[in-house]
Amino acid sequence: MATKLVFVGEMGAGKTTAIRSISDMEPISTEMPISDEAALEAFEDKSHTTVALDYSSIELGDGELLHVYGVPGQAYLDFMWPIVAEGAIGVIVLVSALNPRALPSTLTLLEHFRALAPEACFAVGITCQDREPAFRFTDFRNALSQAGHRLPVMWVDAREASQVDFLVKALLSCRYAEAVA
Amino acid sequence: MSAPARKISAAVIGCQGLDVLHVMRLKVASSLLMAEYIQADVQEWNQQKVDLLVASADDSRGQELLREADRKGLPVLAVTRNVLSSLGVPGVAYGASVREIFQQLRQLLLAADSSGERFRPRTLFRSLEEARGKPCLLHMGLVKVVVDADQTQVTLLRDIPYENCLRAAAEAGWTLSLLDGDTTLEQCMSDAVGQHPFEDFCWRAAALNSEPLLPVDLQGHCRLRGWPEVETGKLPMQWLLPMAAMMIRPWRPDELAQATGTSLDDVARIMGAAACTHLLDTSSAPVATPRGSGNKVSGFFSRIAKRFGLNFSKGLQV
Repeated sequence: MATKLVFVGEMGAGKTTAIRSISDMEPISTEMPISDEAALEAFEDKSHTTVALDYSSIELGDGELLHVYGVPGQAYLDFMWPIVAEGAIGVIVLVSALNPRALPSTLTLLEHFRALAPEACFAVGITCQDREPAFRFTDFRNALSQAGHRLPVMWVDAREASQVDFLVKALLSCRYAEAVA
Repeated sequence: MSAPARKISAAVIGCQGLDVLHVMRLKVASSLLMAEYIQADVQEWNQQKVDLLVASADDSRGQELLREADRKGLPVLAVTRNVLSSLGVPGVAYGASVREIFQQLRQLLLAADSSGERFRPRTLFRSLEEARGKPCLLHMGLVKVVVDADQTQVTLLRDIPYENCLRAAAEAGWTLSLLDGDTTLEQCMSDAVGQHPFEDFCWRAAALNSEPLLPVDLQGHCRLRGWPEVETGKLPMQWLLPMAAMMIRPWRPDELAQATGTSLDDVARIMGAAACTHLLDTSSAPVATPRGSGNKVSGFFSRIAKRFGLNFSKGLQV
């Protein structure tokens, strides 16, 4: 049975923050200091990054849990993807507007995770809007559509619980519509 | 039982070659059209689209203009010192009173609007149809915006709360001027006080106003080309399911309303916003409804949805 909600994205996309925003418990993360000088410069307000998984849960009542995972999108960690994707009810790809490879990175993650979790529903959240106002949302969304990914795409401030919550709502609406339409 | 509220429609009256006295009388006469629920806006005519043209027929140019407009099916009213019958178009004598002008305007506009559809409220979005994607300046009262649909931006030129602009966008009485040259656009942009994505502007206006931004074909099938760029959390929650369903396949509005447990008014507003932002795909072939396929959603999923404040119990029970 599908009992997982998965957030996937590259470093600095906001996975840990997004999970923290909507979880009932503090996420369990494996955080390490960023050693890459270039990455330190790019993510000026970030000194640590998740090197393995984020894990948290959301209580549904009567002891039932929705398991929430954050998975790094870096290819060298792709051996973890099938394990986490199995039984995912939905996958949210988070991408930073600051990422110069936002589109190819998102396309790659969508393709991989669609293959790993064919029953799951997908949504894309674009973070760091405040730091990259020139990001062309409509071009990005249209490119995803043209590649066959017709799915909710929205700006999301991972620090704002209401925005992450809304993104999850859109994902669940799609899941429901796909299941029965 | 109260009578249903009659909607106020809008008409643009162009005037050409009239002197100050007749322009004033025309404006007063036009304001009296509110008695017929027509909000008339009198504008100096510069070839823009109007619903009625009032022009001086005291010279050959004016006469030709009126005849040409009449040939094209545009209601016209001549103001002339000459013999009216010789013109071949409706007219009033030079010096006509406000009352005479009003009676002519009323007769011409009502005759042209026998279906009741012609003089629809001139909202910002209906005005935008004339711009065909070109940058334009729109204003109504204190609200003034530049819309550059191709550049996907709406720029506010007055320091008025965004939400007030969104509410005003669906009201009648907008005036549109095309910004042809870069200089004009640049001049307007120098007064910019805020900028918003065009899709955000349209969808949030649709959410705030009770009427669809553009009319919807209730018999056609349509789907969403993509998810609109709207500030997260600003779309009504009850729109998520019909929007999600429209991402999956084409729907007829009444089918979608029934299947998702959404009101037809809400569906029409969603589709109107999608049409405004070119996200409405009407070219898709209808898909057979999979009746009897059963609801494949588990109880666990329902509990997740409930945890996030969603209740799908009325939706998509196809």
